[in-house]
Amino acid sequence: MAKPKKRRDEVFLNIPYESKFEKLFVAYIAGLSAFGLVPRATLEIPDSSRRLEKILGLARKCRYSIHDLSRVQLDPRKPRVPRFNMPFELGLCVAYASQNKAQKPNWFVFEAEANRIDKSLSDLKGTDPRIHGGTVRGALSGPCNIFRRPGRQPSVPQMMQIYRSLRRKQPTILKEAGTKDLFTKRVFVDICVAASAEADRAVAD
Amino acid sequence: MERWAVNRERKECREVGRRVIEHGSMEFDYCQGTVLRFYHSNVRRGSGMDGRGWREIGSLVRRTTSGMPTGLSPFGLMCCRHNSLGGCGDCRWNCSREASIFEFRDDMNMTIVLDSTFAKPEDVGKVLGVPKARVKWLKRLASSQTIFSGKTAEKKNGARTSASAKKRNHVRGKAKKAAR
Repeated sequence: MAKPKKRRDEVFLNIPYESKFEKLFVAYIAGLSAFGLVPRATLEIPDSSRRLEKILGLARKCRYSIHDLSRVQLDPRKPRVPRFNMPFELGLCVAYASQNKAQKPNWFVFEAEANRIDKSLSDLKGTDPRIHGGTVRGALSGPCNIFRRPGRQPSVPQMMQIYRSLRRKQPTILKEAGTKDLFTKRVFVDICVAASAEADRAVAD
Repeated sequence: MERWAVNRERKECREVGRRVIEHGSMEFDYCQGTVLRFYHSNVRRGSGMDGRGWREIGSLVRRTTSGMPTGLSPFGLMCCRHNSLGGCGDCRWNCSREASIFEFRDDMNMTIVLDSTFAKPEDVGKVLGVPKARVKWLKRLASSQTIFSGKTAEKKNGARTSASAKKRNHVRGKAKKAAR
């Protein structure tokens, strides 16, 4: 009898790429890896033409998507504008999900403050965002409320363990990549693999 | 039916009920709207058990088990997916007799039960296009208790001990010296 094909779920991570957001970025990766999911982000896409098509392709490939809309502030540097990338990509994912009638809604919105999204993105009224409060623990408990894996259900302390381990190894990974910026393709990919290795160890059967 | 057989059956019923209640209280979040289905040989589909929260199920199970007709086996459970009695080989939803009393449902789309395989570092590397050697190095990095420095990383085998480990060894050495 032929072996059933293994399927891995990929999660599209739509988050702001800012230095202030580094902790939550690592926390999201740790949380998703603890569930045995593969995080994907637009960081993987090289800056070139037809970027939008590649983003669309990536969003289509992923079964689930997580959108953090907590950065709604204006950039302190000139030009002082807010980031529209996250709401835009959320819109793409929502449109794609609504096209596929067979598919259940698979996009999740995260926010730092409760009720703020009612003003910043009132079209989403009726969709409760997950509030992480800008904390690592909040970002880790978010996936816990969304996903459940029978047999290998990670706990928040286990996720914290993965997160702490990643933060410890972060300087080495950055040094290896020859950069100080966490939001690069190489660093993102390395962190994802390291998180998965750590999760495989930390989350027991 | 013999009295001992009836007693045994009742005990088994209680055990099933206890498992449902315990598992429900542990695994299911009533506030999140997560629901479960409980199929029993004498509780068929559409009998009102569908889509109830675990508290309700608990009370129903208690009611069912206390008034269980003696001729019915408490393990006459339906495989929720394949509609077969007892264990089901094809089903991944723990349909063995031991744990086949539940089916997880996400009717409310509040909790998603992942049915994919747990992604190992090799799988993640494959998806993200990381070379095997690098995956190996990252696995080693993740499992190491020591901090790799840039200099020693060039040497390949070297791994510098962390500052805390150094301090620990230093203190241990001092204690040994004092003991001498």
